[in-house]
Amino acid sequence: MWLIAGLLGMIGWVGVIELPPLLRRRHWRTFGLTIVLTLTVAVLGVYQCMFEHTFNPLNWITHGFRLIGIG
Amino acid sequence: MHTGLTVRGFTVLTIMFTIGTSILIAPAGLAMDAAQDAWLAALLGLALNLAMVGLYIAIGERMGERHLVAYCAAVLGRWAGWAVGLAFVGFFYLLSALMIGDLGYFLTTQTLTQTPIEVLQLLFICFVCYAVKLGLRAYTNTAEIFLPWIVGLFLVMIFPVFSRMTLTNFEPVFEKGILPILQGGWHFYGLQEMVVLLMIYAFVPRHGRRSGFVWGTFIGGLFLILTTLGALAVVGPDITANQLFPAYTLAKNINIGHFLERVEGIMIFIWVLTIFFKIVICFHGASRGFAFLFGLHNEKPLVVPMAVGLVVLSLMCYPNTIYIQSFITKVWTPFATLFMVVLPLLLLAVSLLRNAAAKLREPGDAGSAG
Repeated sequence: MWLIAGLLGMIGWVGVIELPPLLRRRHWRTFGLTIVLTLTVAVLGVYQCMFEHTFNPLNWITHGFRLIGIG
Repeated sequence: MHTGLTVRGFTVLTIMFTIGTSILIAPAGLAMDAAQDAWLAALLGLALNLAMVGLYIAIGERMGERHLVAYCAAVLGRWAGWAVGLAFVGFFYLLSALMIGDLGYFLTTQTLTQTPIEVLQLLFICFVCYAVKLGLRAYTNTAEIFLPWIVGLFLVMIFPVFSRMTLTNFEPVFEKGILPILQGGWHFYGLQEMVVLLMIYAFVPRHGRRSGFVWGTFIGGLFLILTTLGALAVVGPDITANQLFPAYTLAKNINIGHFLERVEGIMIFIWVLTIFFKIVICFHGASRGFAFLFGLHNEKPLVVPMAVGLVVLSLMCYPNTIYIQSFITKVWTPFATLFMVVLPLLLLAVSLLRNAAAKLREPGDAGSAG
């Protein structure tokens, strides 16, 4: 619940505070990348809330090192 | 490039960075590896760290006014440089997320046990966002203001427990030989990640920055060695190895004349501050590197989504403390070595080779070649 609140706060902040100046200055690359990042974090955050710990980058690192005999 | 950053400020940041999360978690790992010889392992780890700082200084002096990610692109070319730069950015970001997780677990297991971890982490990253948006000079000046507090509180933690120290806890020295000490030193060095400071090294005035880097690492390392010594001497190697946060356990032993007790809550101030500055530096490095890779003029619009992403990533990576203890013990040091040793050595080697090749192609050689 708190994470969802944080994600909503992030979307609100980005939409109200960060994006309008980028639109005015026509910094399209920064504008697009900010939107992509925000949406990616939002999707991953919701996924984390729904399926806790099933998407863990540390597991990939551990498996990678186990392949070469470490860990 | 004038950023207003001074050598003194950089030294203070290096001290804060070195202390970072290590003051909380390093003594347990050291004691697990080397038992009562953990202090020797800490000394060895500091020596390894200083050796790595020598490597980073060699790279830093060749970077000019570029930060590490920009230097990767300059040295390795467009595509390889971009890939290596992205790897560094990913490492800094993952490191920031793991430290946010460390802080959250520390606070929710030791003090604020009823508070949801997400609340603490989200609150913390609000301050991290604010610091990164204000910029390098602002949080460096803040670090300089807080350093006396950290030193003072650290001394308040160490001196009162002198009377409870048992020197026989250090015996027998070298009981299990040199191998556990080497192992402990290796793991200790793996927790330092000083390569991140190459993201700000170029912005420090040339005169004195090398000694600032070395002294900052040395002083930060001294804090860690003293904490390890205190934990071993007061609570013993077995309890130190079994504690999640032995420095906090050490602070619980502060008792001055039976009237000054339960001051461990104030000691948390030290750790939250040092962790805060380490996270700010790592996160600022990641966001700046990310902005560079994608050709952005300014990383500030990306700060808020990336910061919330830190909380999401930390929640993904931290199912429980047993998992993360196992990861740090078995996998973290080899993984971090890729970014702390292998890639920096690669950068230095390619830079030296390119310089050598450029010198061979100089006009002065045309007569002898022809």
